[in-house]
Amino acid sequence: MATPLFAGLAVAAAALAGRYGIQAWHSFKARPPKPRRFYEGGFQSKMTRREAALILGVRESAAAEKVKEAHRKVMIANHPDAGGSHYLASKINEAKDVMLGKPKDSGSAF
Amino acid sequence: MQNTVRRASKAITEQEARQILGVPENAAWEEILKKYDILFERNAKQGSFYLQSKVHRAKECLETVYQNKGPGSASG
Repeated sequence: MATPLFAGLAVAAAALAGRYGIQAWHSFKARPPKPRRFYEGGFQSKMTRREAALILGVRESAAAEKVKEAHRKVMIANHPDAGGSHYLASKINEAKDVMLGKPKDSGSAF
Repeated sequence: MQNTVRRASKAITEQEARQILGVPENAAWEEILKKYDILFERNAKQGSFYLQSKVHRAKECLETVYQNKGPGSASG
């Protein structure tokens, strides 16, 4: 009776919704990238696991292999012999030790 | 001690800013900018966003310091 009418309307509605959804998705993808806000302040006085993970750019739950890989990569970018600062290099080393659960060791070999 | 979770990092000091960029006390502004450029770019490519932020904050801090020194001030 009126069923074909309803069916037709439902299909039309679904089509319009789908079209709208796709358009919204495209605008969402094409949106200008929002610049990330820089972290505030200096380093923490006592390095936490959270800070260590941030320094190395890994998750707090990262596996040892990932931590070492990240440490190598970040250290290359900040190596003192290549124009980096000793302070940052020591922070990066400390971050690795914190993530790997090592006690603070002075004079750790790079 | 869970109440420290929300606290912001301590504000960066001039001394720490210099350490981060690896510049001495009497460094010229140009030298600071040079180190900033190198460190900022390197960390953008291969470092972490966190380190990039610290480098940026260090430069920001020293910028204030050097602006307060006044133009044409001879130091060192």
